[in-house]
Amino acid sequence: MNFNDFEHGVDPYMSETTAEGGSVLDGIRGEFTTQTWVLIPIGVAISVVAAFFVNALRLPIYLDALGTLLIAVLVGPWAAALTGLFVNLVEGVLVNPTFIPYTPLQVAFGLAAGYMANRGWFRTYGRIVGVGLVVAFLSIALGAPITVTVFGGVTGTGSDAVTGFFLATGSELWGAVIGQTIVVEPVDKVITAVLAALIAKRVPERYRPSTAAPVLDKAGRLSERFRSLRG
Amino acid sequence: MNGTGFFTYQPADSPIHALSPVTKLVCGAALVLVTFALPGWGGLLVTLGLAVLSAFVGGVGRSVVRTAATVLAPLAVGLVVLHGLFTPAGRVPLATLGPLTVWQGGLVLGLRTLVILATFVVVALTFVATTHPKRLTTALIERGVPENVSYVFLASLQLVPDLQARARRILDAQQSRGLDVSGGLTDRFRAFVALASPLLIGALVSAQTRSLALEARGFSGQGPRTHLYQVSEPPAERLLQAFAVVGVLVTAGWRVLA
Repeated sequence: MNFNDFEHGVDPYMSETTAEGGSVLDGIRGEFTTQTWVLIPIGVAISVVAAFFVNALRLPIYLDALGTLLIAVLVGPWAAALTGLFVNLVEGVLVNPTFIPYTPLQVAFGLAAGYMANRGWFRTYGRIVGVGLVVAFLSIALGAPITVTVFGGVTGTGSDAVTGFFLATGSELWGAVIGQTIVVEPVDKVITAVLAALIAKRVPERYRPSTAAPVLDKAGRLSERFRSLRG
Repeated sequence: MNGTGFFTYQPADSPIHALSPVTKLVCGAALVLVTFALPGWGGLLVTLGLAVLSAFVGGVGRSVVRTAATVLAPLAVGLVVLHGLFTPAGRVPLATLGPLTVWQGGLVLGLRTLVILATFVVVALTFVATTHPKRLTTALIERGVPENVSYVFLASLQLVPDLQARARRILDAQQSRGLDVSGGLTDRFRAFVALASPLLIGALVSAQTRSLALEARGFSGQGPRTHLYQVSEPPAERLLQAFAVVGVLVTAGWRVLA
């Protein structure tokens, strides 16, 4: 028994073909099978639980977009957007309400990464770095206004030290917060995108959702550099 | 707080628990929005006071205040240090420590932001502690939220402690096989992949059974549904909701005109 059996012969790259052939609404409808509704909570929960591994391994990054990017690769943009919506709401309920104002960021991550995944942007390491940079750009563009207007420029994490550095060297609050996110976000989001691809790649064929986008099947020269990460 | 380290619903028999989740959602959001729009200190302390009072009336005051303190402490440090040292609003120095000057205006601005955030955090935690997720989704479905969407919310809430326990077992299992969790940065990123992939694969395996079980119960079926629970919303609560919405509009209008 595997996913493909009870999806009644759905084309493995269905979201890719419908996005190009049918209307946007057809694409959304095609993405939301019962299987998809079951996968979204998994993406949400993995985003929340990733923090447990990050702490256990003392990794110097957040990886809070991991679950959203995994659903973007395994299902598609709309499911990933819904995952993003619930990541911050569920984290806000279970862990810390200050995640809730950042909800629009994760929705945007999901839409962008899912759209790119369907167009083959998870097939080589070079392109995955591109996905990470696009997600980082969204995070800076949408996150900085929320940090400044809602939180007075503060995040309550180690990033505040970077904001302090920019303020101490003469920046205004807006410039300091944007400077801080430009330092922190690209690193965090590129690593998140690479890790999401490596994790999705390791899912055995029989458990891979029928909607999954191709991942690292054309890994080029850059893959040599990342080989040590593959474990 | 319970054994899993997550903040969750605390059952009790209080007037706050008895309110409809929609009423709590509307009034809580209204209180937070009004707080963001208030100019002076007096109004801010009244809204924070209201939020804390509702937590204690709901019988969850102590755990809400304790959790709010842990959530707010790092933000408080950031706000006081960053604004106190680097926002010379009004240019009134409060103290000078070597090359550093503490500015009075910055400190006041930082504390103001902290009080606003404290109101938001206390309101949100009180809502979580006094509202059973099942009652919330039932009430939201009655107000027109699709069943699938509320399923995602409930299933995510239930899956988190489940995956957290699984994550702990995977960490133990991989370490017993010699996984290095304290090596260099590359080793630790490699360890992350070795920990997160079994977590995802395990979740995908159980997802298959789950989607079969849901399908067998008519998850994707069309047509009207009946519900096991009903959430009552007395007219007095409808009035309270309307009052909260009007309160936000009046505050916003007054701020725009003033």
